[in-house]
Amino acid sequence: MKTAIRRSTGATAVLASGLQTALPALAGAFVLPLLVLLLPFVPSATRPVRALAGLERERAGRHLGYRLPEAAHAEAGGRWRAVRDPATWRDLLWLVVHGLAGTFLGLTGIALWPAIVISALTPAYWWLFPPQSFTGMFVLIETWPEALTLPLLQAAAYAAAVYWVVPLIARGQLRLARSLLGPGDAEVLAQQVETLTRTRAEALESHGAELRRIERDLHDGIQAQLVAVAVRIGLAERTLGAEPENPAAALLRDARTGIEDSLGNLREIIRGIYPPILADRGLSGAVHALAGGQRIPVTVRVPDDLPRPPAAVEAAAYFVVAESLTNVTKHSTAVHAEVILDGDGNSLRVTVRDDGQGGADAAGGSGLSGIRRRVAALDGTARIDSPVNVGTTIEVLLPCA
Amino acid sequence: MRIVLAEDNALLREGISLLVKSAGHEIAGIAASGPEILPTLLEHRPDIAVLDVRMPPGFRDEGLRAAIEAREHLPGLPVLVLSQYVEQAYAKELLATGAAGTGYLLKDRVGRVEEFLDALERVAAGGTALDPEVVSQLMNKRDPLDSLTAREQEVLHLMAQGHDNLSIAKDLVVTERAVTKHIGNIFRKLGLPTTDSGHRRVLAVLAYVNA
Repeated sequence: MKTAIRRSTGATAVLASGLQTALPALAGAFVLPLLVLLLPFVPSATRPVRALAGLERERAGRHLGYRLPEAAHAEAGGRWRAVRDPATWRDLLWLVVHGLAGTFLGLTGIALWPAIVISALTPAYWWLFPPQSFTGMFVLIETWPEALTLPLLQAAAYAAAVYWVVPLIARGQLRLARSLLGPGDAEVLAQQVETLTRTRAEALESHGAELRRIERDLHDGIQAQLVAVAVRIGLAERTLGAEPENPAAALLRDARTGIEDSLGNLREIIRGIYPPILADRGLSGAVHALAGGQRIPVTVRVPDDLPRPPAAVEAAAYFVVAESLTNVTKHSTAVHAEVILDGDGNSLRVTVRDDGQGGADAAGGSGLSGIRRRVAALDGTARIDSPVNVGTTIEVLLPCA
Repeated sequence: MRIVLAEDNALLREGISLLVKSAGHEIAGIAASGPEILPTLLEHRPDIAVLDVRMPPGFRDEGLRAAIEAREHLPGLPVLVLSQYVEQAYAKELLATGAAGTGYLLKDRVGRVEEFLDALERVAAGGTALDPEVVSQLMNKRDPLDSLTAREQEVLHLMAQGHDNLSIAKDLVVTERAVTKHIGNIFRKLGLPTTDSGHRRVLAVLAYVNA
């Protein structure tokens, strides 16, 4: 019972406090046509509405227990900005709805409480009125039995309204403020996309820094240490050189070849993580080096001002070019190939084109599926176009930001 | 002979120093970063420079650039470039400054002390020492050498690495005469000008694979 009363009083308080904004909104609703006509000429005419909406957001936030996010209003864009801004129209819609409904519901919500009392007390005073004239609470009361039942039923109906309907309406009012005065669905979505894009770019960047660091650590740390150890073993071998039958010599040789194998494996691993030539020469230099190592002439076109992509993207692009050129040499019978890199900082496009026999199976082929996998891992896309007798074009788009 | 060594890893620097000293050579100067290389070379004018490709401060290809630059200031300076990985593009850049007295090896090879010292001396004497992996990469660029027998391809590979007849014969466990015969066939089949001198022969082979 106590909680029920608290719930109802709370809801009534919401509706009552709604009058603070509903009454100014009602006044505003009366001048709405004038306001709309003014919009193209005085975009700042929406300012009082926005201030009122701000108050409403604050009020609703107080009741909801969390701050309502502000709608993203267009602040720039010329004289039509307010007209074009969907947030303006949502503000105005709220102004009308809350002005009318908020005023009515606020007053009704307050009135329901005394109405319960007045109805319940009808038997105490109805006989003081002249006969046939007492029509309190819309019900004509003429006899005592009527006076003792109908008003009580009516009081119960009012109480039921306070108990069930008022909280629903109060919640509706707060929701109205949240949905009309907060950011719209599209804005929320756009904001999420922006956030995701930013966090992905940050992740890509830190991942790239990590790749470079790992490559550096392996290359300048572990590899160099292994070589230094191999040199010492080699020196020990040289010292023992005169005694080839010495079992220690065989052990040393095994140790050295073991290290050589490890160095070879390590080199492969590093190449898979981040090819060292990328660290040395950047993507352009690395792709030029790849092109120069092919059997057929390969033209490379890279704009001088190509922004440096994140390391992971660089490594993937290098992999794409290397795999594509391997395919060209192996399968295409091409006499010339072309590698084009271009990008604007948001994405990097890698195009590898040859003048071979075409007919490459876009789905199959370990090289092509390898490219697809590597590219998909970075949210990129790969397009393979391979008409028979015309040549093959592989175009890969990698997001960088 | 007198060597200038450019290597930033102290442990490795020390190892290589020990190694060359054990063969009776002398470390005339040491450079631990890219910018130190050229001044050190100009100061000591060594018989050979042994350079690591990746050096501070940039950890890119400072050593290689220094080698190419050094060739301009000290023409004919033998240069042996060491690297953790080999890249045919680097070999081409290096060979473009002249194949005589040029070496480019994986660092892994340093552990094979005798082979490394052999390469070091060969380069210092004006010869060539290319890592087998570099040669493979360079050969890959050529159309398959189908006209050559498997043995002839092996011989070509070793020639491109800079080995002379004797060393090729030892490597393949055949007589020097047999090697000479293979080489004659290779040159004929590839249409290369026949030359007697070991070094010019290497150049011809390199010019072929590096075309």
